[in-house]
Amino acid sequence: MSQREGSLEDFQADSSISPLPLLEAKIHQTHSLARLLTKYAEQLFQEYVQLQGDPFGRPGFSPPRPPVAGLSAPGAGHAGLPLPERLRLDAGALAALPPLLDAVRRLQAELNPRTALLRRLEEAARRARALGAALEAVLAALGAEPREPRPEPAAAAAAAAAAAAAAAGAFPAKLLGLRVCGLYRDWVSRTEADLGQLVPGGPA
Amino acid sequence: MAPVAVFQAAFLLAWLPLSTYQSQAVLSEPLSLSVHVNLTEQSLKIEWSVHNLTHPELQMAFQIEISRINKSNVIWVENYTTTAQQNQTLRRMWKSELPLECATHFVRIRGKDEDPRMLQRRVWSSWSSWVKAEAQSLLGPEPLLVFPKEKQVEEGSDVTLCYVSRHPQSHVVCKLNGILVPGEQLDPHVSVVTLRSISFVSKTGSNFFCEEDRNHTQPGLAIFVTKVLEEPKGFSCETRDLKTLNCTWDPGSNIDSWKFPCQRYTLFESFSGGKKSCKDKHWCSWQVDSQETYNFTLQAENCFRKRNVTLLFQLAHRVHPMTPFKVALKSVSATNAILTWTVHPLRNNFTLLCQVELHSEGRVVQHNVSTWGNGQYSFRGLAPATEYTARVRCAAAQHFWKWSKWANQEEFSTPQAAPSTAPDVWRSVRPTLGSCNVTLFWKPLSRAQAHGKIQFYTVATERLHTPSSSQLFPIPAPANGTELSLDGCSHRIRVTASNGAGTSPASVMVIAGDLGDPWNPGNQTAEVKEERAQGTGDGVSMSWKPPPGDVLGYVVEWCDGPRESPCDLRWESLGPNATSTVIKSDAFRPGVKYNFRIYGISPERMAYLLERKTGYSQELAPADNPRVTVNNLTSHSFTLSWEDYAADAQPGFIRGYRVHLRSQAEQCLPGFTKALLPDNTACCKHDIDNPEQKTFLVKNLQPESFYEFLVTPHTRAGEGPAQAFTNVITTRDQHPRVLIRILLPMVFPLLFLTILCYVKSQWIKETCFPDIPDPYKSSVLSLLKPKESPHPSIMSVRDCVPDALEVVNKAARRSLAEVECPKHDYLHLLPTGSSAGPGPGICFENLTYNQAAPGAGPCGPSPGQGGLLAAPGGLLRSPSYVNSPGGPPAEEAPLNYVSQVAPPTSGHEDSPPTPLLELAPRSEYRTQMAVPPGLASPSPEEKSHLCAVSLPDAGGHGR
Repeated sequence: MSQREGSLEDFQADSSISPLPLLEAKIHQTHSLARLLTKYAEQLFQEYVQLQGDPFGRPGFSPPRPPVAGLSAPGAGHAGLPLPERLRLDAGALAALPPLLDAVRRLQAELNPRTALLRRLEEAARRARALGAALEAVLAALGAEPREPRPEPAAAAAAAAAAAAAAAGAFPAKLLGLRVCGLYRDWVSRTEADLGQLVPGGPA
Repeated sequence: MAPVAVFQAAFLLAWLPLSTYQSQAVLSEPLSLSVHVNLTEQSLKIEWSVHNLTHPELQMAFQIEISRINKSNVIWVENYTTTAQQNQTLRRMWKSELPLECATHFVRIRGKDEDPRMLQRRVWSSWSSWVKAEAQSLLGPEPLLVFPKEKQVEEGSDVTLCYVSRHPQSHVVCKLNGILVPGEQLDPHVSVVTLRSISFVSKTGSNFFCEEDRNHTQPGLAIFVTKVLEEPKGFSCETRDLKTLNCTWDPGSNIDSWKFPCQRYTLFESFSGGKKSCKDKHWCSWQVDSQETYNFTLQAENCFRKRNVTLLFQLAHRVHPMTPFKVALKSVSATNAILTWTVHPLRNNFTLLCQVELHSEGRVVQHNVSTWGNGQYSFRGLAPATEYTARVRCAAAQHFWKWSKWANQEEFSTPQAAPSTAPDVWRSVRPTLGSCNVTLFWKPLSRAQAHGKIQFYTVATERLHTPSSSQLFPIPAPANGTELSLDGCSHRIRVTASNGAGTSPASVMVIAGDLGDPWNPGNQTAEVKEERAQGTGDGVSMSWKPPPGDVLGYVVEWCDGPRESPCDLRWESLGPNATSTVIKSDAFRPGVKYNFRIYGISPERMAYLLERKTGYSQELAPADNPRVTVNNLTSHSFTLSWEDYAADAQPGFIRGYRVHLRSQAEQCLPGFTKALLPDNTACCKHDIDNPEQKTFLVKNLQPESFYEFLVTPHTRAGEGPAQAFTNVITTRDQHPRVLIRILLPMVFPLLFLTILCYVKSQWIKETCFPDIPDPYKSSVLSLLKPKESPHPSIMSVRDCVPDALEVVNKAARRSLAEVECPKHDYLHLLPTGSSAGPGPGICFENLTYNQAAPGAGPCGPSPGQGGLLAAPGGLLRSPSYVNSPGGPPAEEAPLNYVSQVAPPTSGHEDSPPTPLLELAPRSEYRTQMAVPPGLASPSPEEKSHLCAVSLPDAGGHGR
């Protein structure tokens, strides 16, 4: 970690010291991206449930949420974790989401071909990658321990999950997509909240 | 019998073992049976083989039984016949309605030979052992499972689903698209859900899922519902190039599921036996060869059913040519042009019908051209200096099917040409001292006449009698007139219009101010009376009498504004045969009067006023009513007058007036009729049809009465406004006063004279003709007094020799019959001598007395009366005329006057009756007095004297 980029602990400990403009801009930019993706993720989730038919669009419909291979939902204790750990978890989830979103897109290509949902799923995967990369950059700038890159296992797990869902039938495939879109929305939102703590003037 | 029985028993014993041997020889070997579960297709694959066949191939029949849950619950029996070979594995598929995961199935089979070559009895073999087909062992560890994993069905069909719960006590609810559907328990762990007549919801499938209260799992499946396949509509085939047929159709509302798309369209051709799978669900192409007739069948197919439509046609009848190309124009002149185009090649000698369309200024002209190669068309009669647009399309000429699309339209313009028509020119001539001011007007030529842009006009003038004195005045366009000051008013004027290509024919007119009317010499403009023209709503219609001579035409001239505004001169030129026209102008306004002058153009091109017209394009109802004054008001009439009403200033020709009158009388006056006003109040009206009449006498009115009147004018468009009525009260009647003044002075003198005459007549009567003459009272005697003694005129009875007394019975109040026979009763006075017969004497006839006593009878002498007279004492016995007590009651006897013979004034009333002669000296007439009937009734004997007793006349004494 270079002194030029500073450390997250130093940044939090002495907030009166002005961060370097580049880092601040990167954090601010990443946070803005996360905030934008939060809105898009919510739109994607709503569009997804509307296209799957009843009961997916019903408020009371809450199927069990089994863990998706390679990705779990933000835990209840996520907020209590140290910020660097939270950001690392966010980055890990954002890295696992694109292959899952791609798998969902392939499943939906059979169930809802020629719909805008496929394009939105593709865009969501790309944006998750972009946000994950930006977050990795912020983490690197802050001197945090880099997350070990595991793209291959994530992709394989996602492919396996999609294959299993497809084999189980259309209804499990819809459930998988619902779960993935929900995870995407949750993790992007979580990332926005975590990055917000780095933004000057944001929540402590 | 015993030998026969023994023979039969021996035969049976020999035959039975043989037959048993033959039957058991074919089916002695059991069938080897195996069953495989295919969960994807929810089917059982049943396989078996037959061993020890007597022949290499043998026709055999098999019977397969399938049981569910337990072996005794047989749910399916199938008979299957096939040719079996030695050790061959035979297969059958059985699809289960119930998902195989939800129940164990058992299968067994038996067979028999059906080969006609076998002579032995055909009996079933024994059943094979039950073979179990179980899929539940393949299920995962989930506590609740729903089967099948997914399903594709046709809309309206029934679907059987099931779920398996690991916990028999748990409560499971299932929903389809959020709606609860009940299940039927198959065993403690398995329940069946049957969805009846399922509907299509979306292409992404209907979601069916179940929830278990114990662990909140929500397994489910998606049911993909496909719409029932419809028959294709509008199946049609055509060719653009005679090489490829393109068939199209409307698939209808066929909706395939996205997950399991299985709709297919296939084209079959019966003559060639060809077949083609169509890649699109709306159209399909077919390669054409030498075949001329085609019989196509289009088969629509999905996972559940097929639909067919057919089409038989001749190829040449289905030619839809391609769009012509290379459209071009050549040899474009002012009036002609040639359009050329190219068509895509078809077969040799295939004739096309091409349609050429020419657009210009909103008009379209079409022409048809037959061609078998590249085409062309010559446009003739085009307008110079005009923009055109041409386009072309083609179709099969011999068997029309469809037009091709229009080829790209070509735009072109024709060049200019000289104007074809002389300008329409008119003039206004104003003679001045020694010269003539002429204002020329002309109308711009239309596009069809101008043949290009008019650049200038040329005005040439020349004196009529000196043609060499010509002057030219070029006037640049777009002027529409000019003003000239000419030397004198006898000129010939020529006007031409010129464009870039040439000059128009000249419009010629002659101005000759001092010339008279060639048709009516001596006729002056002022003498032409103005007549009315009829409005048509948007114009003014007028007609005129043609002049006796030849005319080149007519011109109608007017000012396009109201009379009082400056004249915006307009004119309309008409041909020589016109005798009427309708003048229209956008400037015409309703209710405005316009003046028109109709000129005839003589062969010398001089214009002469023929008629003057005035009229409205549209008449309106009068805007106001006349101010009416009341004159000559009397008790019975008054005069209405509206002399100052300006009828000419109204927005229409006044056709008359209407006098409205209201009064308290219910009946209308003579000459008036009842009418309703716009406010539905009743009144009486009188129409005056003469618009010149502006006074009206209202007569036959009641004195001192209240009247209301209103005078409204009316035009063709309607009546004047319904304004307030004016009140009038007639004066008092003058006749009674006059009568009083005249009659009173006349009546009183007349009355006085009448009374005077009456009194005088009474006096005369009393004097001269008393009812009862009284000599003592007679004034006649007074005339004689100077000559006579105090009583010389009175004849003394004593002095008379009584002869006879005639009693006159006047039949007053008698009937005519009674009156007709008056008879005088005579009292024959006894002669003093021996003479007993009638002799001369004095006879008093008292005509004033009347015998009115009922029953008195005629007054002729009766025997009784005669008796009375014969008994002289009879009359003398009742000198006092007092009724006897035995007389009739008073009410039965009328009031009678008794003729009195005055008794002697000596007072000898009580003396016995004396002879009449003795009484005579004292005899006198007394005043008659009324005697009550009872008192005056004479005795029956006295009734004989009733001829001398009479009822008084109405005017008699005693009153």
